Amino acid sequence: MERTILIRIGEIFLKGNNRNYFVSTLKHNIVESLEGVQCRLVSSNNRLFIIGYSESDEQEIISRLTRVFGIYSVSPAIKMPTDLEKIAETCSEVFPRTGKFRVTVNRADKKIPLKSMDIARDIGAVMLRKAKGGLTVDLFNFGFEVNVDIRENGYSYIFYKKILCSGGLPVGCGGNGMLLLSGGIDSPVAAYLMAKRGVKIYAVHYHSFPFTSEMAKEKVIKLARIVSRYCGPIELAVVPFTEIQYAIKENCPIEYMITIMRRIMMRIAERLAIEKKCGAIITGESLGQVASQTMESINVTNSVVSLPVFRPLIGSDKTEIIDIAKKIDTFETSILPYEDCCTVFLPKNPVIKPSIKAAEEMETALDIEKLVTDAINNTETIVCDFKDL
Amino acid sequence: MIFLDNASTTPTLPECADIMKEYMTDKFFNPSAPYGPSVDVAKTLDKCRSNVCKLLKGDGKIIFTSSGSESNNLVLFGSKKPNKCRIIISESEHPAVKRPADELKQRGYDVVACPVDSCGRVIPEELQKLLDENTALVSIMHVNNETGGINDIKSLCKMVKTYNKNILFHSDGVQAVGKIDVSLNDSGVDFYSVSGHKFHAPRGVGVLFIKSGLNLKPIIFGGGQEFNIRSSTENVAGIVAFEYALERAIKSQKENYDNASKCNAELRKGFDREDVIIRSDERCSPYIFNVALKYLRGEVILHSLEKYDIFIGTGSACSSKKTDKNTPENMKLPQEYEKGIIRVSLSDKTTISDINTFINSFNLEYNTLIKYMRG
Repeated sequence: MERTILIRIGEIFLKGNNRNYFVSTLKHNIVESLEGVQCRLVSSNNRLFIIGYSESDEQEIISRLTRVFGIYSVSPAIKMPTDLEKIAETCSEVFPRTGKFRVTVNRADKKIPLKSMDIARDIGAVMLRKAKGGLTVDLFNFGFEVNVDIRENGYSYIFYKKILCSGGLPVGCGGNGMLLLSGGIDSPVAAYLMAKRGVKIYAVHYHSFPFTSEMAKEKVIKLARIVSRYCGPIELAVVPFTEIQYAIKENCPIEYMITIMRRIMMRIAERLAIEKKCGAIITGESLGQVASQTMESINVTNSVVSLPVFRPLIGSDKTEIIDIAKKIDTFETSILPYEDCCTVFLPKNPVIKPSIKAAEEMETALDIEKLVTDAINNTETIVCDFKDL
Repeated sequence: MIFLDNASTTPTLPECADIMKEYMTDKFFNPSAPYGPSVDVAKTLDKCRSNVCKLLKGDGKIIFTSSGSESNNLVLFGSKKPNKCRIIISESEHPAVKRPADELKQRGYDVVACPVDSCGRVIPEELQKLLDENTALVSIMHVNNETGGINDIKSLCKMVKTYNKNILFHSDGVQAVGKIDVSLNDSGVDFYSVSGHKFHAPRGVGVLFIKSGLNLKPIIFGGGQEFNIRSSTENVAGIVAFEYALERAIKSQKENYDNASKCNAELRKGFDREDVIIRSDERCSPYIFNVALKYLRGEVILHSLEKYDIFIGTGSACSSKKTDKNTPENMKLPQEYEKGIIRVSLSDKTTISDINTFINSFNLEYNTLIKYMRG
């Protein structure tokens, strides 16, 4: 008898010829997520298993696996030689002894003369007898389902828990994306959703010291670390933004302050994206949430870049975004009250329907190329890893 | 480095660190154990206790705690009082009194806050009005942590005791001890809280003075240390260092006070400008100087001074993570000033030259930053 964790992979099954690529990326991510825990990942017959761990680590391993994209569900299981009597006995010992249950047998090993239904019936009978009246069989409204997986190699797996994981695609197989990470509620959620579609996340944060504090920067690093539990370590570029804000404040009309700031943020993000071989920019924008996220504003900020901009939250309500933020544990950190660079110079009446033409004209008062290059040259890069949380 | 946030904490004296090392390594013994070296440690502890009591000029028990906050909590929760009785605090108490008082209110006590003036000092007539036959406890801080406003605890205590001698009087003396005269017998208070790290003792040691004849119910139960009022193995290293720092602070108190007054006068001169409201008036403790800036957030000037290796405070560091909606009526500021609060707090080590360097750097940064702010 040996403890093992059975891993079921999700959507990857749909991927025809690329399947191997997806699976090998997933395997790599699983191994990385389990770093520091004594265990091994093995695959056999198109299945993935974790073996060689101590019982006390099982919960930790499962909790880490639930955050690896590409896994549909996991089951802690017992691996034992295919001996039907012993299997029945083990089932009656290790599984619950009260409640409604059913037994499902999957017999890949056709050398076994009994049919799946018959084996299930026999195991169920042993369990009923040993439970002394605590269990009842109910094939449809069951409280738990005992699964017995009889493999062709002479071994069987028995389990009754199926723990739903994050689904999605393995991070890395969807390309790289450059996320604009502000420290608010939305951008970490955007990172999570894109990582779920297999995108490896790079991030950029704009820092306006002394208008925003060291604590605000630490908050962003912490958010990146929390999200990295799902998407792996994130390389975060912290770009100094104060000089740019000064230049805009001095040379451009105040109601376009945020519009022009965001256009420059997009330009910097695109440069960094190209450097890191990212195929897209990712933002946490949600249509109409604030003045800079109206359709017109998005059009004006979008027009300075040619890479596609992914906005996974564009159609989400704030409450929906908050629900995900709570689920992935970023909410509590996001709501810490440190100013971000956008609120510092917030004009009383920001323009709600800016035009590209007006923005372009105003920007002629700025040496954009120099501002962008200087900011990028003074960028600090921090690798954010959940292990440092 | 010029450290001007001494009301939040002060550097521990190197001598204290040496003392602590000795009591953490060679003399690490648990004072409750029966063998010789432990008995020696227990004796040292008793000596510290009686010396601290002498230095505070009190007649009563000294309970060592982990902090001023713990001392305050111990009084509010542990003092003897009938159910639903009235508890009076001041509007400008530190959260370490305010929050326990809120909790007591939740539990059904009649907690009321006495109005204060613009420097956070209790208005005596208001206190008189709040006293009633159900009042069992009054807690009024000695020196306000934001502005340095000093309450005349002797006359406030007298007023309370004249009304009803059974009302217990507590004062949070965290910003007072080592800075201004503290004479507990003379002031007549029943309980008095002290925190060591405000006068160069290590963080993690506080004291609660309990006047003779009074007692408290514990909030930490266990082995019965500290007269059964505060169980926990004693933090001997911290306590011995605390006693050393307290003695040193009180011995040089007069001289230090004069120095702080000179520095304070320099600050007043430096901030005498029309876009600044000086919140600490001349009657405040010279160690705390609080001003409000027009338009510029306090946090911004705080950060911009970091590059000169100058550190100041904004409001009170204990609450800098929250926006305080409970500012007392008389301490409220015009809207364009309310986010611009900075607190400059001095120690015995602050020099006139530090203050001048600070004022020069402040002016330089302020004049640059203000250009970019909304106006």
